[in-house]
Amino acid sequence: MSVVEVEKVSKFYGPATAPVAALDNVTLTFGDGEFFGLLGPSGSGKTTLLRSIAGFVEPERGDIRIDGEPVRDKPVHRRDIGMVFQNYALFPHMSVFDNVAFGLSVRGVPKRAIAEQVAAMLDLVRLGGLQGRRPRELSGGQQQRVALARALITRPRVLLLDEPLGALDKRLRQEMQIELKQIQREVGITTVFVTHDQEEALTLSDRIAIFNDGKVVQMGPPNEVYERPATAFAAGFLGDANIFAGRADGCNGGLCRVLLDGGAIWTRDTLPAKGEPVLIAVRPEKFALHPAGRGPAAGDEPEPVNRLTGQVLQLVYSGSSITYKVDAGGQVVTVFEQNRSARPFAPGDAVELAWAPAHSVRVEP
Amino acid sequence: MKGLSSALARGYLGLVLLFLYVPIIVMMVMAFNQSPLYRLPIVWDTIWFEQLAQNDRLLGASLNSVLIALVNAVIATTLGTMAALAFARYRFRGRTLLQILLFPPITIPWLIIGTAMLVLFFWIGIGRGLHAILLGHVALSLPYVIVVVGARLRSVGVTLEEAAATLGATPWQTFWRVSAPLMAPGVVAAALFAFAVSFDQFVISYFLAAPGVSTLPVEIYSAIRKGFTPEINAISTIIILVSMGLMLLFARFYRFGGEG
Repeated sequence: MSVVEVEKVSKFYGPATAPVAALDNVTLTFGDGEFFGLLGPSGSGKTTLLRSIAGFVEPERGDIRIDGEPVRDKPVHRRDIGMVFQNYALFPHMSVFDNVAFGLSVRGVPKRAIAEQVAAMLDLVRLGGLQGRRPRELSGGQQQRVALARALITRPRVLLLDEPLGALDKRLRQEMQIELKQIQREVGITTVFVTHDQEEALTLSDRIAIFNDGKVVQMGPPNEVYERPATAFAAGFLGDANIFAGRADGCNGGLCRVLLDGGAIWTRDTLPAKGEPVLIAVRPEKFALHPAGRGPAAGDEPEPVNRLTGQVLQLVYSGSSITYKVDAGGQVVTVFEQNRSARPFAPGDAVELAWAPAHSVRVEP
Repeated sequence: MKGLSSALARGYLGLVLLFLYVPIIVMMVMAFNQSPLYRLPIVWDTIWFEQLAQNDRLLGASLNSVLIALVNAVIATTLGTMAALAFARYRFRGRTLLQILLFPPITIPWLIIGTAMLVLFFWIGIGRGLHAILLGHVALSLPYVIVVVGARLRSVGVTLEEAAATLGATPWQTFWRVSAPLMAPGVVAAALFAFAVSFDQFVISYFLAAPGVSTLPVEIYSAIRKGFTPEINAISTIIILVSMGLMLLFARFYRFGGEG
């Protein structure tokens, strides 16, 4: 049960004359018992931050504290952390039992106590009965659980997960996500995990931070970050987004208008001064797709509805949903529709896109 | 068509094996032939082994060879493993240069290395003798050890050591519980390699041997120059059996631990 604080941490790579910042003044706090996802493209700094907390990377600037105590001068083996590596890093020359027992054994815990704790831990990860096996005799999911058991047995202050499910196939990954979350809850351990899988981040995390170029672009609970992306990058990286570029017009009663080349968009967000450039992000599932001229009339709603006319370019059928690419006045817009209608639109159909002003989210470039 | 090419391949393999093993088998058979002139039919006898038992020069040289090869294996494997660890796990100034410098000694003709060592050893007062031969052999086997152990370390990677550290193992515990067992097959292979490099070595040993003290290859060479005796067949047979045994051991060890 611990709090991990990362304060103004910077890490540079490359020559001293032209350093590249892998971490650029990052400040984050991981709360007690929290499951925190670090999300970002490769090279964005998320792994560097994880490895800095573990102690494999020494940041040039800033402080990392676990329970208020700075860990700068503590080597990895004295930081009291648990880590699950991308390919599990199980010791191939040891049995499952010895792998899980390793952390206790190097601490000099008596054999008897080790046997009890390992048995209990293997039960927790549902691996009872496999303790005599070698890692290579286990399936991917079982190896993953051994890695988790091995990391948890010393009751570390913080659990670090480096793309823990990346090596599993999709179905197994979804099962393990549920299980991982369950075990984490049961143990109540502060967990920081790195992933580039946005769905995984949304499913597992209590809070997430999106990284780009060594900086935290946005941080918050998954639904907040998803519904209210702060930048065009965050909008595009976490989920899909359509970005409309326009100019601020004016506001009236909490509704503001953004002028596009071929129309206007209403939003409930505040705008800069009139004439300033503005970016508006709209998630593909927020659109309602109507046949041209059959959309909701302007007077039907208590507030103005955003409307764009266009032409279907392409559709991608994926069973429960259909993805349309719609040409709306020169801009290609992605639209997700539930597969409910008896007759989906076909390429060439003239359509009308409608969505609520609240779903027009103003983002920074 | 398939049957034909398969038969051809088998035939080719058979010929290669024949080419490799016939001389060795002939020698081993002749070691048991009574006639010193290789007369047929073979009269089976162990007379040459009995004679060998009384040939102090050959036996002494064999003992020297085994001793040097053993000591060489220990020294070269220890130093080489340490060097391989440094190359694999640390970044330091001149690392790449040092790694490149490892290879020329493997490719430079032994004759030249031998001459160079002889000149240097005389010049700095080390002189000739078993100690000089040992020094030469260690220098010669080091690159092989570093390459063999280095390959193993690369295949094991650093992640397992990192995992051990996160679990609270001190660097010392990590080395003995994780790194050492994982690199053991490579180290054993390297030791056998170093032994073989030394045991087989003729040129450098010949240059650095003091009069009256020599190793087995050097002794065999001088014996042949004086006139061939089947005792050499006898000792060669023993050596072949021993090295084949070592080979089997090697094969077993290299599988141990596995790549899984």
